[in-house]
Amino acid sequence: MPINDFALISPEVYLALLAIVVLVLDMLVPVHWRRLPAAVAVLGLLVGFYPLVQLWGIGPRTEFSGCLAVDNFGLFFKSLFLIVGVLIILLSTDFFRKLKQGYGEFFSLIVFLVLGMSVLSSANDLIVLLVAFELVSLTSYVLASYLRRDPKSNEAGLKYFLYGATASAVMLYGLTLIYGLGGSTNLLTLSESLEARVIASGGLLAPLALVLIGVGLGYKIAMAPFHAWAPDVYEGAPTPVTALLSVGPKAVGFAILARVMWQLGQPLLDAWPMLLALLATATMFTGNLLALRQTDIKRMLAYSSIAHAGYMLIPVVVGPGQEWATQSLVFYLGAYLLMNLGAFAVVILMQRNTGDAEIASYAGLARSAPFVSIAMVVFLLSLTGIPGTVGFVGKFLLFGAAINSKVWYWLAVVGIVNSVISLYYYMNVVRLMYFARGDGQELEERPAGVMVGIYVTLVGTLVLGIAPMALLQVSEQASRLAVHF
Amino acid sequence: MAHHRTREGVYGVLPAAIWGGPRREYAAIKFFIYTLVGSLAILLSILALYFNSDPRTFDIVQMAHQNPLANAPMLAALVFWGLFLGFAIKVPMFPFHTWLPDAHVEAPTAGSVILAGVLLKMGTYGFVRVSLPIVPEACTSFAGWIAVLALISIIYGALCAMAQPDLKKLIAYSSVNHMGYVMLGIAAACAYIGPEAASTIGDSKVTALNGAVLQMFAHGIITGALFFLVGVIYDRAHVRDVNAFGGLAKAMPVYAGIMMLACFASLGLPGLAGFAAEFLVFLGAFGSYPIITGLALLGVVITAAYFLWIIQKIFLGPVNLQWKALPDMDRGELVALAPLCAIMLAVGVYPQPIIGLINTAMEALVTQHGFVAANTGLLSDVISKIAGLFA
Repeated sequence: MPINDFALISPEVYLALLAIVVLVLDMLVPVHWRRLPAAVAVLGLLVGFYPLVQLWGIGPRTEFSGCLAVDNFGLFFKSLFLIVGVLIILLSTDFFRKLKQGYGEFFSLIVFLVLGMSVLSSANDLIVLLVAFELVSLTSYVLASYLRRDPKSNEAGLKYFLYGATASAVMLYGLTLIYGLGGSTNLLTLSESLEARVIASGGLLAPLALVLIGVGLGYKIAMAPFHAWAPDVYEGAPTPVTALLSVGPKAVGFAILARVMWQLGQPLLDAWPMLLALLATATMFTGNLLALRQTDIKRMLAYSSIAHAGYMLIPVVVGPGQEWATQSLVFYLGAYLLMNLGAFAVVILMQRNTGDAEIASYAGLARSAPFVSIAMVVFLLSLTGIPGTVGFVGKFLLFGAAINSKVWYWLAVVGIVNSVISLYYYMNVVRLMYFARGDGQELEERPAGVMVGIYVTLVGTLVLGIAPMALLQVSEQASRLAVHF
Repeated sequence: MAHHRTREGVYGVLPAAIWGGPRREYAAIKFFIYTLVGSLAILLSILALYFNSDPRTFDIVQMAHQNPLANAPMLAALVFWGLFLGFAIKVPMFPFHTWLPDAHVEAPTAGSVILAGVLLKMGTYGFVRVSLPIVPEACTSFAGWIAVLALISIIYGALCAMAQPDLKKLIAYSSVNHMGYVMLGIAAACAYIGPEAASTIGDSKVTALNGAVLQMFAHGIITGALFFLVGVIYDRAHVRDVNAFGGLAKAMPVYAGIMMLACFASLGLPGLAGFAAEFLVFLGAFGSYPIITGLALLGVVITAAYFLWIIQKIFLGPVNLQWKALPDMDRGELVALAPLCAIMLAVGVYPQPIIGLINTAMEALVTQHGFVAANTGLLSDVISKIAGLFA
């Protein structure tokens, strides 16, 4: 196959077409067929794996004059986003059943979001980075406020928008400063020229640029102290969208952190890894300590996702030169996707039957719904990092990367202290399900999409926890970035 | 190795949580948190060992041969204390022992028996199997600390046991005391520098380790039996308060006899398993820590005091009419206890076979030479012997 630039962006082209097809289909089909766009979107996203598999191993290289990078790292993220898209659509077909308007548009927005995240994960140029960043952000704002009649959803959307717009503007300012310093928007060019120019310029400009970009990305992954939006948005947004926000934009934030900041961080500010390590510590403690007191499970999972961002910052701190660092990052993102979406699937199922997201509603669930309870236990154990689940393998790699660096031992210790704190609030849900008196909520409504979501994530969490070799191999191949070849 | 440790710790909580007493949730979550802290500390140490081994390996025997941290004393110290935290919580050793009484009081009888009989030994086993061979220098330099903590476990555990009115809690604290002897033996073995086996030092080292391992075995048998016996009386009377009984030997003579046997074994009466083990520990430990060993002997006196005291309060004295009609032990309970009593007697009277078995392994461990061969040889030996029993 002759490879030209268009073949290399075939996944993105395909996703753009798919999004438009879903959008148009929604306008054409009659009301009682309105689930058709969702089905088309799911099938279309699954077919989207084909070009990714075709491109696997071709890179690392760049295309369109170095604007986009084609490497296994980016392809791995793209396949994660496809999985996210499929699972979120499965979780939301029933959730939005009462919507009179805009039912089908939701799924096309999801595909647009997947497209934005895909472009972002291979952005090798600051302009492309910003455009794709905005595509992801704008789509997310709409999704967060999708329940227009629900004040909480509106509040979530507005908050997300205000915080997000500010963060984007701040990041854009940082990017312009970098352009001024380095004289290029291309990452490869920048990485060659930036260091000398920064030294030549002297002054505070370089650290300032770095901090400004850090704010934008920190907001995206909900890093302390830029995490304040997350709990409110997570609580108010429609639950499938909450699930999406907790894995999609977060993962893409890490993709950029790895691709851009590993390249530009150190030249701009020598103490960058140390700064990031302190922020990672703050993020872990903030997330875990605040999660302890939550009574709403969506808020609890929001704080837990802040904490997990902290864990995943460990390999970003350790840096790409170290064994296990990139691998542990991509592995953990895959693991986190499975276990967190699984937990959210159970939350959505419960919400369908109880109408709320109170942790107290889980009391006695083990007696009324034993399978769902077991599944929830597996997801929560995996989030804690208990052996036998994929979360353990992920944490093993993360802490291993820190230990291997020989510099960041203390970060691994912070990580384990936080894992122990997190045990308390995760197990509180288990305690309620299994040991609380009284009968649990009967789960009469079990939407097929949600159940399939639970099955898939449960099998993934367990199988990859017991036999992680396949994902380990893929993640090892995925740890090759275009900028480092 | 990493997998195995955390898993054992985590799944150990389940019996206590599901079938236990009124504060079982508190006890289970406390146990879980303690264990997870320990497991993760061990995990970090394992990772540090892995990344410093060359060629990289998780194999314990390989690591023992490589001694990966011989030239990095600071890191070896960190790894040692990481392993220490995990194992000491499991033992449990003062000051990490507070989960044990709670877990025992809330756990059902079977859970207590498994906990005392097997799970606690994971900690001391870890010291002997992992810490001692892989970071020997750190073990030697910190042996004094372990010995002091072991001494505190011995004395403090015994005093706490003495103050307990709840029979189950009393035995739980006596576990802290008895595991203290194991740790004293291990600390003494760590204190002897150098791998030489033929010398007197090597001999004392092996003696202390032999005592420690035999004490693990004896404690498993004796305390397992004691928890079972407490379960027997709790089933019938639904109380475990030491002061609630009196003259029970009249109502339940067989029960009284077996309980007294187990108590005597636990307090270290010569002729029973506990004596053989404790004697070896003291013999081996005296060479390196004469003062600490001397003080530790106080623990034996206190242990004797409280066991005699409960025998007196429960079985002797005027008959408490409330319990006059309690049925004695049934056949099922006797069948369960008979082998334990037989082992207590057998090991106490003629400990040679089991000490020989332990000695082979410990000598191999101390000399390091032929560590692989002797160990695997021993293991396959034991397996084939066990298989022979069933064939």
